[in-house]
Amino acid sequence: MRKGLFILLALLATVEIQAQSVAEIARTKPQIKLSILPMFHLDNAFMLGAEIPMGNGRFSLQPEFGYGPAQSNLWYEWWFHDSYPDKTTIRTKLQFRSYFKEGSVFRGYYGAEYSYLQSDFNQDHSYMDNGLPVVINPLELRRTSHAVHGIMGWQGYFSNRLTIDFQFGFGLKATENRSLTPGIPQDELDKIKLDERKWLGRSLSLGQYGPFPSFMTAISIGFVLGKVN
Amino acid sequence: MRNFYSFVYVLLFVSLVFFTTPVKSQTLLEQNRDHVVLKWAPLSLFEYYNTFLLGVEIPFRNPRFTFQQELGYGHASMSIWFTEDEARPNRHVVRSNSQFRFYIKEWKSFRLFTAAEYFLRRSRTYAIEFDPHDCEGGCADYSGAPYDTERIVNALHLKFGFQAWLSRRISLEVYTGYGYRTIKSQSLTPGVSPLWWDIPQASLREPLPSFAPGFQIGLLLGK
Repeated sequence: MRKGLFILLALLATVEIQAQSVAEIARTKPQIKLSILPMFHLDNAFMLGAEIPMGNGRFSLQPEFGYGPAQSNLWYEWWFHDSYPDKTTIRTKLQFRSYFKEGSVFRGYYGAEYSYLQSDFNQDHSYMDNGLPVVINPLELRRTSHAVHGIMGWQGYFSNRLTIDFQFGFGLKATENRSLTPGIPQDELDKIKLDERKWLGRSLSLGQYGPFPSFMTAISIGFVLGKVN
Repeated sequence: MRNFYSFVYVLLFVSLVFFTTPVKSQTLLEQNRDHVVLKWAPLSLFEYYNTFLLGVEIPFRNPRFTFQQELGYGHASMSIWFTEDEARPNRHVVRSNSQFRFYIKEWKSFRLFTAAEYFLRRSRTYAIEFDPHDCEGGCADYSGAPYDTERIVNALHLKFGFQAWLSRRISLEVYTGYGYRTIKSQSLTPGVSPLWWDIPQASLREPLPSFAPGFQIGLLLGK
């Protein structure tokens, strides 16, 4: 009895706990990402991405792609607005991360990202040219925006499969609203407004804006791929 | 069998020595408090008078007293308070915060402080032009008559806050400041006095009450 107790104590004191933490499991494995906030943006998109670890999990690269029609836009639902514009949005993003802190259920990182947004509008426009009505149907308009942000973020682990990311960033964004339909005189181009709601001081007129400072936040849910014991 | 027991005892002793954390001779704060700390205040980027603000905190011989000097510069093109349609002014901002601190109470990696602060901000706006789209008639006299203005803010604050060491080198400070400020607008173009919209507080009684909350991230310098 006494002997057994001593052996047990000695074992308890010497043997390290070998279990892997969820952060260690996720570190070297790729993840599928679903970005939450773009679904609630005026430029709505269902955005999926993948986080690809590099350098034994010290760094990672995360490309994301999103697509969204205005039909599924929250801000044009009936309780806000009675109709929606003919608009589709494409978003892409490429994020580089460097993890600087690892706990047992979270990891902290900083990094940089480039993001691109493109919204295509089809709407009508008519004007008088030398007393004759000119109707452009459809008038094709496009907003493109390029942004670069430095980011800080935090990745938490619900289980060894499910993760969540919170991040924020500050950087620069340049936007251009332009017409894809050729042959419209300049004074008519100046009158064209994008058929869209106002959103955070964004311009609805055609033109180039920026680069201006920009703030971004992102929340994404991740699913760890690969073999997990 | 005796050999085995003595082996187990030695193993126990060794593991006790290795797995009991030794009592630290110095706390984190004691290690850090006589070093110079580089400071950055992120919120000043998002003010209307945006600046990138960096500072250093220099301890005195008694490390419960420190002096902190911050300097910042910013341009209106990096302000977040303009919409895409708005024309941005050519506005340069320079600011300075000078602080004398006393740490009231200290723990292992955390301490409370109070400080007296002098704040100075000068913002210069070059060549304001009247936007002729905003008015019908009468404005033509003003358009194309650029002039430069300067806005000077002086303030004194009494600050309270804490400094927490998050790691060996990184600290976080959260504070609020209360005090008074004066605001002065002046023209830099000879013969032109600043227009009424450049002196928003001109009719108010000075000094104005002033409130300056914020947070800072610190990086310990040196070995």
